[in-house]
Amino acid sequence: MPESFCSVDFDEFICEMGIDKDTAKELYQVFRDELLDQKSSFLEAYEVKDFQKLQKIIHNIKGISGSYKAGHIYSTAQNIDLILKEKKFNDDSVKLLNELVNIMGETVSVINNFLCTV
Amino acid sequence: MENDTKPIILVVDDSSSIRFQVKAILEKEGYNVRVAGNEIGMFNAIDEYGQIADLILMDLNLKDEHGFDLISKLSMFDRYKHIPVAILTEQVDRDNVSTARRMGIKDYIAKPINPELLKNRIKIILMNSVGKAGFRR
Repeated sequence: MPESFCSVDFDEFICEMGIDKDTAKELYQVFRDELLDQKSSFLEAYEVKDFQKLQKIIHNIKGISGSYKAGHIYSTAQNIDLILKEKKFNDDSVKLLNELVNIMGETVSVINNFLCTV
Repeated sequence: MENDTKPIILVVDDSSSIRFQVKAILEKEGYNVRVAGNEIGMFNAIDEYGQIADLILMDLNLKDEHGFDLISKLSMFDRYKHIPVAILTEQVDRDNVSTARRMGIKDYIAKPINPELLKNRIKIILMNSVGKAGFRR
């Protein structure tokens, strides 16, 4: 998977927020932990086919990933959100859910790398 | 410890990422910021140190509750019903916006968060709130 596939625009986040890198690291640590929680929650919701809960979680993932400049999570969550809203969930949507799981995992790695930088 | 000359903003959102982010944005602007993730947290934080919040920034899509329900509960208390509320949500649709309007919500701000826009909208709400033109009297 190319690096840019799961990019997070840390520079834009820091610039828009008007904060220093250390503060950004603190915020991204919280974001990373929440991403991991949300990933487990939506997998649980999907397992029991609770689509209402799934939509709520996807909504939240969309909101936080957009706010933290994690563009690939945001666009994938947006697509799933639309499918759930229109009640058009099918086998292709499952592929999209798997894609989201992968992107979230990769994004967590990208954030971990950022947290290790000086 | 809060600076008692600065407006107090209470952020109610079940997302810790959003709470921390909004807190960072608004504290940098000099506001006192309190945060809560649910109804109990909201009622604890709204009235801390004998000082009531000047503005509530409310998410709609909370884990076990809906933001509109929390706003309705607040409005049952004379002590809190005057507090201006702004919605901060990713749920921007006609139904929610018109419900917000009916409930007298001061503003409806969409996520993802745009720090500049958020700061400007909050400044306007506080300026328009009687006696809270940026700073507490």
